[in-house]
Amino acid sequence: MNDRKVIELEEGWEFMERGITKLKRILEGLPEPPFNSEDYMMLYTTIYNMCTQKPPHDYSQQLYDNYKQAFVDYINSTVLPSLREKHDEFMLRELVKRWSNHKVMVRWLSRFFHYLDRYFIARRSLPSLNEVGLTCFRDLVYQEISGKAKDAVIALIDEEREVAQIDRALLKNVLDIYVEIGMGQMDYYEKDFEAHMLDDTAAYYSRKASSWILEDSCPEYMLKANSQKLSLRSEYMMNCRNSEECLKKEKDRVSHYLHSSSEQKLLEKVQNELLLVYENQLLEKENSGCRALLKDDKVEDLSRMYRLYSKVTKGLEPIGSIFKQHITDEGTALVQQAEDAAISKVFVRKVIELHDKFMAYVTDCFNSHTIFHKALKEAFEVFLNKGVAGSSSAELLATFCDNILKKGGSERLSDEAIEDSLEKVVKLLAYVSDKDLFAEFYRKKLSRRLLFDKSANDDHERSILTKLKQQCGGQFTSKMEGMVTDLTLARENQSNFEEYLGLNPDANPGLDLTVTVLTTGFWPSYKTSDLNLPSEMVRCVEVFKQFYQTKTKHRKLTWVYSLGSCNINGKFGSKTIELVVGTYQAAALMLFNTSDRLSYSEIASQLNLADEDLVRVLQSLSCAKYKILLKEPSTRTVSSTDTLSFNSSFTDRMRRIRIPLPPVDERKKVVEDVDKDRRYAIDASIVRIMKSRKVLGYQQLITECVEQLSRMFKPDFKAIKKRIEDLITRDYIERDKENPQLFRYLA
Amino acid sequence: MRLVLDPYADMILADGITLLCNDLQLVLSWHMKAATMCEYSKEEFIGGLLSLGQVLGSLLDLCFGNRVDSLEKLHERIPYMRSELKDEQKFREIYLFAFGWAKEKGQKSLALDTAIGMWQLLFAEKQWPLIDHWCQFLQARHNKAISRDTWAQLLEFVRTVDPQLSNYDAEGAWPYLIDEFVEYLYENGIVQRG
Repeated sequence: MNDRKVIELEEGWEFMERGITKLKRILEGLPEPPFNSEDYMMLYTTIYNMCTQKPPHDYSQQLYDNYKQAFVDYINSTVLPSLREKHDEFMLRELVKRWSNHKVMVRWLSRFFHYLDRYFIARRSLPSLNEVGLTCFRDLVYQEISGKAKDAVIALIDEEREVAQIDRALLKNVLDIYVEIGMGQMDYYEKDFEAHMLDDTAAYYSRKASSWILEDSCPEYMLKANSQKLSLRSEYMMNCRNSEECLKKEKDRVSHYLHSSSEQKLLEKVQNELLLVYENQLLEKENSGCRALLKDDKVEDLSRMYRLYSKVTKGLEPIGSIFKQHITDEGTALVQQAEDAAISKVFVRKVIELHDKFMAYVTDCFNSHTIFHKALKEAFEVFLNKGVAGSSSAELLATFCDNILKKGGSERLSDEAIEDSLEKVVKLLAYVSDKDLFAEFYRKKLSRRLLFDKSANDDHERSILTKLKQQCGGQFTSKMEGMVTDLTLARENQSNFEEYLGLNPDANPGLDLTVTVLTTGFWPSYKTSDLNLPSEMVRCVEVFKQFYQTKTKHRKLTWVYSLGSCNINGKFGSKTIELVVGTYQAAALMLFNTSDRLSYSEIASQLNLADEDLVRVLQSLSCAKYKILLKEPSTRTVSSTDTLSFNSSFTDRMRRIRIPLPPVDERKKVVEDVDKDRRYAIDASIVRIMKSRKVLGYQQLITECVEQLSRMFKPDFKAIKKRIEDLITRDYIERDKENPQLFRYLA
Repeated sequence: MRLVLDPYADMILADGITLLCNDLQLVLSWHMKAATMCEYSKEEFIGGLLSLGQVLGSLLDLCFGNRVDSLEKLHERIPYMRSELKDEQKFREIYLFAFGWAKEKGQKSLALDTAIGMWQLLFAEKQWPLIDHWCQFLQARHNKAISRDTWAQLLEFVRTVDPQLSNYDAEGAWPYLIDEFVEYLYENGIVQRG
């Protein structure tokens, strides 16, 4: 090998240059036979030889330099001039062509000079041949042209936005240069193109949006943000669909020629300009904004609004708050309408309808997004906790249930409809904070249904209790369940009683007696009175007591006469009529078996009845529809100076009549009872908390107390404060001597 | 005690005879740790005597008839006793002591009339510009006995909240009655809402 002839630099390079010139001619499309393998071998071998000669004949460094110079020369003499004389789209085409030629040139030349890559470059850690070739293009061509190219590309994109047809393949190729020139890094694409493109996009849509927002209704606007085929759609629908269409088109743009990494950024820009910047203005548009869409039930537009804004960060919140406000307004309007008694009767039904309607919006238009569930909940909480026509939602809900569940109630529904209504009432109850008030009213009404045999269907009674239990917990329904069970037990007890009477002929009550034994704690509290019963009834009570003692020794029976009912025969002049009356009424009437005329005070003293009760009793017997007693003077109300006598000429076409007592307004008592229960509940809660925490700050105590009680009611912090002070007085807790904001549990 | 001092009231102080008697009585009682107003047990009396030393020595002389000598000595000590009401810490102790001292035996709360009297007395020495409004408010709106907690917290309120209520915190743990009082002051335009 030592005898190989040394190749001098000049000589060798001259040979190489011939090859390079041939390559350039091929690239320029001039007539030239293609490289064959022999050409290639010769060129490679020349480089190999020149690099493997002994120093000073090792020309590696010079060849490496010359390699680069070959590109520089070609670019300066041919590539740049051809680019400089062209503009816009033509320049872009030339650029694409030149870039692809350049890549070919790099590929070939780096093959010729390949030996440099293997030893010289590797040993010295120099940039590879491929890299050198691409860097040349970047430094000389890209640096000069990329600005111009970027402008041309953006101009084309804007043209396309205005509905022109453009050469998308060309744009794709140009943008590939921005990517490839980074050799694996996205910096060049992002800095030299994408940033400018995004700015331009923002500016473009900002211009569009500012003109649309003035001209269009909200749905039209959203339409435009979506598409740009403005004139084809009906005026109304355009805006909504536009916003959506714009976004779709921009997405399309990315898939066709922009780099995929641009998608998110581009869409954000467009959303920001079209939707966020103008969101409030758009949503608040008077006749076509979000509120108007809700009012006019524009379901499709609302869905579109959701689709658009669900992609925008924090975009849904303003819609949620308008939604909430709208529901609150509608609900509050219902509350106000309920001042009118006729509407008050259907208030709950209307609220249920309102809830159904907006729940459908939440699930259908707003994809069950939590923001809208929350808005719906909060809105209902606002208006369902307002007073309704001197009453409360809690009471009206309980009354609604009563109407469904009682015999001959105003609501006539199929079984399924009843179940459905009950389900919905229970759902509404979730929004009411005074659940204890509902429970108390419900118990009052339930007791009446059960005791007076007014309940239409036992299954429905139990079904609503199950629903209430699921939602409010076992404690909430335990008393109600106890009531229902009590009644079943009472029926059993009654048949035992009758059996007992059959077996003990001595124990004869003298009349048909039915006793319902109830458990005190389950039922609403009833007033007991020391009514002087007629002797016939006294015997009944005695007989039952004896029977009851055979069953149990340790229970105390308290007789609630105010809840009793009697069937008595009235022997009037023309015929005997069966009177269905209360125990009080019956006791009063029985007095007239022995006297024809009695003064008010005589009756009062014989019955031992409070004035308030007695007035109601006498009122029902002498001033109402059936005048069993004649009152002197014959006025419309009973006073303590009146005298009453038996009306023997009374008659009626019926053989049996029911004489009801005028109803008492229970609302006040229920509210008072609930208030009292609340005081105990707050006390218990504070003591529970303090017992476990021992020392606690005031704010924390309030917070925990509200938290504990929120399942039943929402305690007022003033009420809690009063209870705290009461507990201090009663030495359950004390205030810290140094820090008045701190309380201690006293064991 | 009143009996002892009354005949010489004009000599002791020209203005506010009863007032002086009362607050001195209270201060003395505090020294003697008397559990209830106007009742001193023997132990209380002796204990107080030991603690008060000279003052009570002279008082004791007074009680037992040696009037002329001891009166002069007592007279000398009066400014000292009044100054005790001006001392923040001592005032606090006396104030808190006053509740138990003034209330009826066996009661947990202080009757409203007594409480109002005591407040007028105590805050005559330690100036509190809202004292009259407080008493009027109690008579108009409250009309119930005052709990120990409310009694103690009122002093906190007087000490820490300025009369314009600028640093009053409605969310704080003030007793209910004090919250109501603040509301009353605003409602009646006595203090402008800040």
